Amino acid sequence: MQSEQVMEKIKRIVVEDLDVNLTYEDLDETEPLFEDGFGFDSVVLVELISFIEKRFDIQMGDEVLNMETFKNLQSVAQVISKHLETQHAASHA
Amino acid sequence: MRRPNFFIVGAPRCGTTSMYIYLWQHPEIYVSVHKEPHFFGSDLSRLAGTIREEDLYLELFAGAGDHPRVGESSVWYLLSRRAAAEIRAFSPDAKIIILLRDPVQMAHSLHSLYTRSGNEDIPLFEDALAAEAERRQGRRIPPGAYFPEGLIYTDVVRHAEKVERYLTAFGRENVHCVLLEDLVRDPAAVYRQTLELLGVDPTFVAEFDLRRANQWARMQGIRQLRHTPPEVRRRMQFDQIRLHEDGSRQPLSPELAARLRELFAEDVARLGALLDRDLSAWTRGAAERRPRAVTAG
Repeated sequence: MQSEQVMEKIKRIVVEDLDVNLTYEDLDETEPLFEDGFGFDSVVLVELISFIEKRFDIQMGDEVLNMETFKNLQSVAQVISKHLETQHAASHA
Repeated sequence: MRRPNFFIVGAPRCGTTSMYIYLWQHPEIYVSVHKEPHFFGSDLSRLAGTIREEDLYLELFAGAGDHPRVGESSVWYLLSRRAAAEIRAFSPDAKIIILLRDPVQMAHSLHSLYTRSGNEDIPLFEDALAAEAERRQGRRIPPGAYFPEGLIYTDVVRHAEKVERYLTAFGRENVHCVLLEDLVRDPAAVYRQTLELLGVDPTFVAEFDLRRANQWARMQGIRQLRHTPPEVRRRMQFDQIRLHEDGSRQPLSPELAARLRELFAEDVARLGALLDRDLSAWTRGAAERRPRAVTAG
């Protein structure tokens, strides 16, 4: 999956699945996710992780649950893309 | 299912959130990610995040595993007339942590918080105090008030009788009282004493820098929340692990402060005797020179 597609899918989750009242136009990929940006709280973030796991069919382990991963949508997309690449490489090994 | 065996019971605006996050970092301690479930205190109004169902409450500690100490923090347990006995019946060997503060500063801080949160609609602290008589009769309660008991500021901040209730219920050796000014001055020493009460490794060094501690707590909270039932998450209507911001507040006039210090003097003296501490600085208004090292929440 291309990184643009990953980002598109994440944005769809944020706008259509999360109860955060944001539109596609609001979604600056570099905006912080927490109180100094979109204002996500911990509960919203857990919902986001849950949707990501379902939609991308991946498991986000505790090792990637850190502030670096959830800095902004771009960093989230990078972690997912890396995860998908690893998964893809493993399935073709 | 594990039952909690320690409780931070209050008081609000006295550093409970800081203590909760410091204790959370300890490898032998497990705390509920949902701060302030207020399972006990059946005489109190039901707050937004209150969990009164025992099965749901115990789910908060489902991930505790073999952590020796399992706890939660609900700031209004101290005010409640029933909570001490209810906790004792539920967890007879529990350890109790109580954070306290100069009552004048606490009342002022609570009023300031409430004007921001919607529990209070009288902007001036002095006017809010003047409304207490009517509020005791159930009048002048703001339509949006979520915790009317909290609006009787001069009751909320009188600590002695409340502390005595816990000392009687649990025994002095199981109750640890912390003064906010001590926590601010030397968090490491206060932390160590608290760990000693809890019987866990007192040499563990926690992160006391609030920004870094908050970031740690946020991610740790997310890990715990993933295993928390959706019903509990639904009750957490706001970010439970975010430290309270003090925000700006109106200054307290020296005249009003002096009047309040006189009003609380007897209670402060009684508390001092209970804790075997000289609290005359509270009566003189010299207790707090507070840098932003510790949040008052």
